[in-house]
Amino acid sequence: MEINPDGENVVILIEPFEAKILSDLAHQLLDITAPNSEVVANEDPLAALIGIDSQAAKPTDPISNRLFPDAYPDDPEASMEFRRFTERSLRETNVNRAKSVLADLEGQSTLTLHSDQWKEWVGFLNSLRLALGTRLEVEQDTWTQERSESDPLYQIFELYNWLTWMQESLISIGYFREKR
Amino acid sequence: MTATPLDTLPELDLESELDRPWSTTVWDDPINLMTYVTYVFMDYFEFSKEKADYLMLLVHTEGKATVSTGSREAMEKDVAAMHTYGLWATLAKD
Repeated sequence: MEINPDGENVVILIEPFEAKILSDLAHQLLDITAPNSEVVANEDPLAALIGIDSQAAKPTDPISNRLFPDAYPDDPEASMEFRRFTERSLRETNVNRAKSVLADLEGQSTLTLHSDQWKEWVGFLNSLRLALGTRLEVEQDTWTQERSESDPLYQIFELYNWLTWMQESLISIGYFREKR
Repeated sequence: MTATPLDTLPELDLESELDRPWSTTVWDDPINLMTYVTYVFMDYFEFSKEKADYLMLLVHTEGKATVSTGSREAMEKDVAAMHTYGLWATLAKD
C-alpha cells in the first residue's frame, strides 16, 4: 500500500489482498457495531424514529465497552439515560463509516479520497484500532513491544500495527500537511 | 384574589445550577494516536494547532484534560461527539 497527497485529496494505492483484509475487517466491525436487530424489531417505532434506544444496555464485552463508553463516570443511572439517547446514533455512525469504506474499496486499486471520504476512513480506522487494541490489551508502555510469531495474537498484532501506520499516514498527509 | 403561597415555593439551588458549570473530560488511553487526538480537538472544537497540541499533551502526561465547560446539555453534546471520534470522554459537574 502507498498513501500519497494529490492536491486537496489523498490517494491510496492498494493491493487486492490488502483490500480483502480491510473489507473483512469492515464486515467484522459492522457485526460489532450494528444496532441489535432484535431490539429494533421489538421497540417503540416513534422512539426509534427520533433515535432513542428504549432498550439500551451497558455492554458486557470489553470491545463494545470501549466503543460505547459510559458518559458519567460515577453515575450509572445518568450513563444509562445518556446511552438511550446517543448509542443508536453512535452505532449508526460506525456502520455508515464501514459501509462507506466498503464502497470505496469496491474493485478499486487506486482510491482517491476527498476530505469527506478521508474523514470516514480515519474514523473507521480509529474504531478498528480501538477494537483490535482492546482485544490485544494494549497498554501505554507495552504496545510497542515485539510479539513472537508463536503468540496466538501475533496476526492481530500485525494487523493493528498496519492499521496504525495507515491512520497515521492518512492524518499526516491528509490533515496536517496544509496546516503546518 | 389569591395570595401567593410564598412559604411553599420550592427552594431553587441557584448556586449549583448556574454558578458551577459542567465540564467535558477526555481521558488518556493507550490506543488513540497523539496526532489523531490533536486532529479531533482542532476539527470538533476548532482549536488552534497550538491549543489542540497542548490539550493532547495534557491528556497524555496527566492522564486527562478538561476540554470544554458549560451547560449540562452542551457537555452531553460534546461527550457524544468525542465518542463518535472514538475518544474516551466523560462529563461531570465541576
